[in-house]
Amino acid sequence: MRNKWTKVLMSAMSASLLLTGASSAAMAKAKAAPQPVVLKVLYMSQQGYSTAVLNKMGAEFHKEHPNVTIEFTYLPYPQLHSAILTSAAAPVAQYDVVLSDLIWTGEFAAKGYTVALNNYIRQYIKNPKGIPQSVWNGLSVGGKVMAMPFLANFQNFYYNKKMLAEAGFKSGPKTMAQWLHQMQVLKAKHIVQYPYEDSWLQAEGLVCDYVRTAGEFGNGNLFNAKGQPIMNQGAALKALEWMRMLYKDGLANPNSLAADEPTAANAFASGQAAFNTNWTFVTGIMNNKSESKIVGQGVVSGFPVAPGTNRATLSASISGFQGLAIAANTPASLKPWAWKWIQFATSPAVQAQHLHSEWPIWSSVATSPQEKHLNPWYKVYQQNLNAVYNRPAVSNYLTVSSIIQQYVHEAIGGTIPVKTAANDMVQQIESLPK
Amino acid sequence: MRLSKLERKSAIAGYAMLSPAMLVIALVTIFPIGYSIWMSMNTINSTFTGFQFTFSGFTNYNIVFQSSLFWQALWFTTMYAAVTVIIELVLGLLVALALNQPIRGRGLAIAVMLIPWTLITVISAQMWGYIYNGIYGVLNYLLMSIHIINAPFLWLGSPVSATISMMMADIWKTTPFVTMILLAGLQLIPSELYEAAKIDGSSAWNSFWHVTFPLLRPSLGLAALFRILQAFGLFDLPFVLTGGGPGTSTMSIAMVAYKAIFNDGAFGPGTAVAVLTVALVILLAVGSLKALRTQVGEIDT
Repeated sequence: MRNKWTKVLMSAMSASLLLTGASSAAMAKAKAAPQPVVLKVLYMSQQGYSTAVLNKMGAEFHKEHPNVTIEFTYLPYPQLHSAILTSAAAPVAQYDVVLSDLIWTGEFAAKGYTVALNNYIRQYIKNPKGIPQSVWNGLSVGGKVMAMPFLANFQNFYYNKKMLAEAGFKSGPKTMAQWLHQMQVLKAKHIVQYPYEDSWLQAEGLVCDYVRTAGEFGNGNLFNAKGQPIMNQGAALKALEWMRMLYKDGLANPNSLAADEPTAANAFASGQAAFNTNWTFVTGIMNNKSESKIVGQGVVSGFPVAPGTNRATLSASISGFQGLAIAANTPASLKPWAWKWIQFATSPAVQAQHLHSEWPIWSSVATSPQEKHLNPWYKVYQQNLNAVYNRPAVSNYLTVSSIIQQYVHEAIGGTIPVKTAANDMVQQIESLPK
Repeated sequence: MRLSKLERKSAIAGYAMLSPAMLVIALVTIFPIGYSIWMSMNTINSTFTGFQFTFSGFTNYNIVFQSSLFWQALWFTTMYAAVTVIIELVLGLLVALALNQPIRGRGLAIAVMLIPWTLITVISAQMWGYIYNGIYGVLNYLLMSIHIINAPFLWLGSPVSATISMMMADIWKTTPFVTMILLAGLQLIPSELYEAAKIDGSSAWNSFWHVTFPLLRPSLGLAALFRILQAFGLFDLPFVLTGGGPGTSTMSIAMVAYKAIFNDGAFGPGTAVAVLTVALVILLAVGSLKALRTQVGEIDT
């Protein structure tokens, strides 16, 4: 019996030796002619950098690296996080490169779902300062860059200059008081029933609007330096009172409570609102004849702010940055290719080819003659990009966000008094397990 | 009783033929349920190296039972299931009675009626979202056109209106399913019974109450069973239509489990909610089946 097992063991060892020899030979061959590589990339189905744009980028990359094929999976935003989470928990990554929203940065860093890219950036990105610091900040936590910036989305302040002229205003508001006055006059003169429309649906967009409004009152950070929630004081409380007041006084369309960003943009583009605070895609919609009734009337502007606040930028926006990250469980052999793809997709040369789709992350591309020609508002864009506030970079962000969404929504609708909602929000966040 | 050799062989062959199906069922049903029960009794940390389990007994269940959101979602799901199932049974019965008559175009009517049922819930929920939209929603447009309302109404903006709106979408989609079950039940009732009732001078109402209804009870029970079980798994409609809001007013227990697992990364409590839901559904199913058997037994007698 023992002899039999010894024979089996010997045969197995010989077979493994043969296989090892064969694989060494294969590796040597790979250096001469690279083996085919399939890189699985998880991206989001969205406007701007759409599936068509990404597929084109993938094809261009394949042209440069014929042995590498990019296999995209496109998912709607609400499904992205759970897809990344399940892929991260799998023994081998289902996705090698994932789109990482800045709100997941803290969680991904804490749980190690994606790898820090500092070494790659140090080695391969010659001019990291070419990307605004506000963008790096959004995708970094504790000095670790968790995703390479890919999409520099942020909000702009939009107003209808024709409506404002009818109301007797030559320009848009610079301060919150001016903005309130303009809304009141527009309503009183029946130029528009609801001067403002925003995306206050109980979803992530509401948190963005809340943070931005707090920013307009001087501080869009919902947590202090010690990591404690501060929604029940200062600018964050003023923001909540402001949002409730706009709703109560009929200055904001009541539909805002059920509106997402595209719905709010449509209201503005169809002439049902004089003001809209929204992501950069509105610039394209408002001047597109097939989608807009206000072609030539929309103005992109910096945000009004409370006097004496935001002195450096004279605006206060909110970031919606997205980066490309390498999953931690991506096989080691694929990681260099994953980085190569990231470096390619985020490079100034590639971003310059897609200026119609998105605002570029590179300052050199953002100020290029091409961009200036395409986007007459490029200076305002830069102003708002430099004025962004980030949503809290906490490891349990999604839980924190759902609490904020719930209480802010209820406070605006008047189900709970503002002060109570703010206190309850803080109390509930503080009671979360650390 | 001892089996003969031939019977034993045939039994073995039977089990052998059944085994692939049993294996599939074990893999896709029994294993996940068992694994979920195991997960619900552990504290789970998720990192890039996978899940790390630490046995914690019933701690997760304790967390769930102390959560006001769980109790609120349980109440909402129960209330939602009761209201929608009752309305669907009444409407389904009325439509089935109408379709049971020898009318022209009956086949076409059945085919058209089935369209809502064939739609994927996510799609129909999205469609209802557009209908209810406060700015460009068809419902507001229609109601304003006929002067029932003066200004757009925010259908999904308050807990009560959002719940009612969601129920309407559900009833629209699922009533055809109930109708089909009841129609099948109606067609099994022998026409002689109606003829005998007619000869006895029974009115239409009496025929319905003393002939149709008792004989249709098993079908009603079956339809109610299916619908209650489905209603307790309510997820896609609120997920798409209301996101569980406003606040947490339309959050079902399935949504609570999803939120705990995928939003909060609380795998233990999340799976505990899922296990409790399964237990509840099994209890309801067993109870309903027992009641159904009693009804069928009564009728057979």
